[in-house]
Amino acid sequence: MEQHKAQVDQYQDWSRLSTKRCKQYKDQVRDWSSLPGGVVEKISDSLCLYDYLCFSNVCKSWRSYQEETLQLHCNRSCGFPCLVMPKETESETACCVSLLEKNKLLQLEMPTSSGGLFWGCIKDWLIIVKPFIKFAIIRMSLLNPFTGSKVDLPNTCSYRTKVVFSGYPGKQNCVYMLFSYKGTGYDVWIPEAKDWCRCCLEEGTDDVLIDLICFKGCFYLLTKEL
Amino acid sequence: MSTAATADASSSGDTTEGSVRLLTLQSEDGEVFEVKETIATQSVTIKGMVDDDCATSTIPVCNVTGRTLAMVIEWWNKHEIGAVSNEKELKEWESQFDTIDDKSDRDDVYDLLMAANYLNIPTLLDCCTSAVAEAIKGKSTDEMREFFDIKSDFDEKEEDALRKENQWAFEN
Repeated sequence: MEQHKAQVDQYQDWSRLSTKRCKQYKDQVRDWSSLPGGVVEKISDSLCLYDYLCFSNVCKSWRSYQEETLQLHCNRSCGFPCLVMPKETESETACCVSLLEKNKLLQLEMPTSSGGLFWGCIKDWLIIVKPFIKFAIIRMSLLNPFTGSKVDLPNTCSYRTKVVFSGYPGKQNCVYMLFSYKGTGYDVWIPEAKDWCRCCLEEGTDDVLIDLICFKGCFYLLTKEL
Repeated sequence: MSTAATADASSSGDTTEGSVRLLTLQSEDGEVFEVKETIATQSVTIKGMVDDDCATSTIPVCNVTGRTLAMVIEWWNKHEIGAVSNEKELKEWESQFDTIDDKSDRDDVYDLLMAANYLNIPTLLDCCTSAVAEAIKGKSTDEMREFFDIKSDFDEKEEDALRKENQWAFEN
């Protein structure tokens, strides 16, 4: 009890001090943009992505942590995830739902793609395929709806599981690869080549392809023994 | 052995209360506080000084004003093992830092954040950062700037690019 009282007295002492000092520090400007890096990092870590992105646009020091950690945009912004809806066959626009921007619908114009099917995407490139059943060929192209760039790939004759590329599509040094799940071969294409080049896994193995990825300019084939 | 150490310490100018050593902390503006060592070592920085035997004379706590240091000591007292009987009571007491909608609360939390960072007090740092994170939730970039009174330091071109790229972040 005695001890408790002593503590209370102490508090009162501090609050008296507080009042005395209050005036002096009331006008002192608190510069929130100069919070130490560790504190900014700690605050960022407890925010959801949406709040985090708003937070990092406030000022340079609040952004520095984002630049340090979110190196996902190579040299330009890829935009935020969008869900592209199937479009009417003859329509020249596709409807996109932004996953971050609250209830935002975008009408993306993509005249070059009319008549094609969306076959997925890599980074901000949509893969568009147009089957020509009569000739048993499939026309493939990559379209960047944000910049409008388009890259036509050579025709292929059957649906492949996946297409990957090594660099920025449209650039001369970009290498493209196609593969089929559980197949034994894959196709490679470089710009200006007339057609896909068919490659096979080493002869004499029973391996089949499971997946194909491109990481930092290198292709990696994942195989599985049958 | 420990008694001898305490006696030694007291003879070299340190005050002791029973067997608990008292540390003298001096704030940036010259206010002096005597704090039990067991409490003050909640600060990793001070604990380091004690462990290195550098806490025998007055410890200057630069960058922290007396007013803030008093709040920090109050925090330490509440968080001393056995000081508060149950977790619920402690959480209730901590809840005073939860909302920083008032300018004065915001200023306090700012001062405490700086002190907690300087003195390295993990519990206080956690509490204050989560109060700030809570205040940020659901605010647009412009609202955050207004709330924390921050002027954008991006140049005109960068600011335009930001607004264009992240239009959604600026609207609500």
